[in-house]
Amino acid sequence: MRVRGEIVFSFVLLVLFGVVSFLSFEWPEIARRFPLASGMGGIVISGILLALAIRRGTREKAEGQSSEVADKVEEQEEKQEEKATPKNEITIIAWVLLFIVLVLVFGFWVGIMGFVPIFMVLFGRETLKVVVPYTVIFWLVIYVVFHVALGTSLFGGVWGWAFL
Amino acid sequence: MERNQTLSSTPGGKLMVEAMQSGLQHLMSVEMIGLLFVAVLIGSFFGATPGLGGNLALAVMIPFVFGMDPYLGLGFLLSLHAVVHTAGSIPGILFAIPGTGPTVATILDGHPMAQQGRAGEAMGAQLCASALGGVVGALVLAALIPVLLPISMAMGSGELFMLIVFGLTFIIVISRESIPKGIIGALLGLVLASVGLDPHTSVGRFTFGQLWLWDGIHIVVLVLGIFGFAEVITLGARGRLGRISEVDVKIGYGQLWDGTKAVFTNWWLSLRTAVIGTFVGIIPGLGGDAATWICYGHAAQTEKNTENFGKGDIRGVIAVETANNAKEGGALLPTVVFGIPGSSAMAILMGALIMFGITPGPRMLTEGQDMIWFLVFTLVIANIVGAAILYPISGYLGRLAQMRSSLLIPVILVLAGVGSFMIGAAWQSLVLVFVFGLLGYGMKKWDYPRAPLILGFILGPMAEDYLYKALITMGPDFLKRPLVLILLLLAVLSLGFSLWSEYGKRD
Repeated sequence: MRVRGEIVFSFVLLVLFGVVSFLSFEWPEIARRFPLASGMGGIVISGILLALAIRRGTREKAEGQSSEVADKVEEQEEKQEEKATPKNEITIIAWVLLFIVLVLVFGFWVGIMGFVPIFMVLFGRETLKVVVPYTVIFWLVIYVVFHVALGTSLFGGVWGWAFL
Repeated sequence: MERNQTLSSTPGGKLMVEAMQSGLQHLMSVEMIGLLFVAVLIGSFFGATPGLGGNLALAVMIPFVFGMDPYLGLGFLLSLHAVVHTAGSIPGILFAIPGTGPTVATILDGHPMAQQGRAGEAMGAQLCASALGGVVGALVLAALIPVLLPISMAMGSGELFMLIVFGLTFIIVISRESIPKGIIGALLGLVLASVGLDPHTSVGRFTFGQLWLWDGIHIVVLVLGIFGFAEVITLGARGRLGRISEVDVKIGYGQLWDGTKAVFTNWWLSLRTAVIGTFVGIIPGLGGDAATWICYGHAAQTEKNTENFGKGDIRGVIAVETANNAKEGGALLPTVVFGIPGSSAMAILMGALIMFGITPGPRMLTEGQDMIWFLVFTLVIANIVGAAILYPISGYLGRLAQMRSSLLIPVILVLAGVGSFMIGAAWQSLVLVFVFGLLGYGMKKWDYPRAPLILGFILGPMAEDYLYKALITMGPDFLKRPLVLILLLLAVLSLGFSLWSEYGKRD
């Protein structure tokens, strides 16, 4: 899984540098000098890294360890070492995305008040005795620091719920 | 405007003594002292909580200082950064869980001491050695300022461009995991830095017709994503939401005092490792890990009766901790004087300098010397105050290692989200910080060092600007100037030496 993930990541980088180089060609010479050089350099190096990752993956297969077995072994090791598992990674990324969506839709004040308790209860399995005071105190600290002390007007969401 | 007036109050020819007085005056304000205490407490929290660390502390706190007076804002950030490693050793000693990367070496002797019931002694030595190291590091930095002044006066656009090229060669050094991956990180930084309107031609680069991208990507939004959101994903992806440690430790004040005395009993070792740590810190990219391990090795090689090193020898703790804080003074030197960040934390701090309208580089020595002295004094005071505050609360801070991730994640997420919105002043910044979070997590997971990305992002636009100015004023002939040639030679030697030592080691 790690090798497969690395191949995907290297490929994404290769595409990214390709797009950078392609877009840079349109600009005048002074403007494109640095982005084009970075893009071209990136294509070469990420290409090499991609090739190395693919070769490592192929070698693992050739050594008789099918990718599924290798993945299971690695997953087991990851669990033992308390490292990230793909399932946990997707879960936490989804939670982060939920936070962003809540803030974009309802704004910071409602988004924080909604996200913090839901996250603590569902993801952290915290009891309401911990969740309620923690959320209220945290929300008040953010309000006092950013709204009262710094006088910041935080994003109110697409519905404009900037009631504070 | 007000910010620039404050900074330009130091004219080019101002005497160093006056600059020192001015720097000290800025530090001695009531607001600054108050902020310093707050910074020490926040820095202690980030340092003592495993998984957080100094880079995240700086990234999350930069939005809080946005719009502040530059002296207050930078003083706050530097004070915070100064105590992160001091507090970071506490969970290391108590539970063998390093709060920050460079404090790993402290565990070697600190944790065995804790297991022998001497945790207080180890922590007393650690706190005192950290304070001493921080003060020595700042004093060495102060001593080097007059030496560097004449060098900085001789630098034009061509020399500054070549200096940045020289700085970029340190990407190799900070890419110990993999040199090609480090270069990829730096190239990504260069690409991201070029987003926005090109200052010389006004062509929109990677703006895709979006108005909010015309000003480019703010360094803080990038840092919050690459470090802040990425750390949230790392913490959550471990899937372990229990406590980091279940051990409860009680510490007596008598033991703390014994440890403190040991630093002065071993004064020659303390001084040596502090000075070595400072000079290792000056070399951009070597980082805190190198400073602490070099000094630990030095102590083990040069001290007598070293059979207990690694089994609970207090001299091991002293050597590591003096170096750990001293290196920050050293790392500050290339950051402010040459515009080359000495570490990833210094790269973030450099971003903060730029945010305040201060351009780090040789001109700081002539036009902003009072700011340099202010930073030197802040480093000294923050280290002393930090240690003083940590003495009575060190036992409680150790309990932060028992804090559950489910309580930490929402805090970091909200602070990073609010910070990115405040700095970017657009809701799109939230989306951007999420994308950078994924990029940062991917880089962390697949061993792409993230410091070169920040280095490329900061140095890229400067290099582009200085190259443009040098070519406009002198054409390609700027390459024939003696100092440019010397810097070019140094860049080639640095690149060659780094590659040789890196690949030679592997062979």
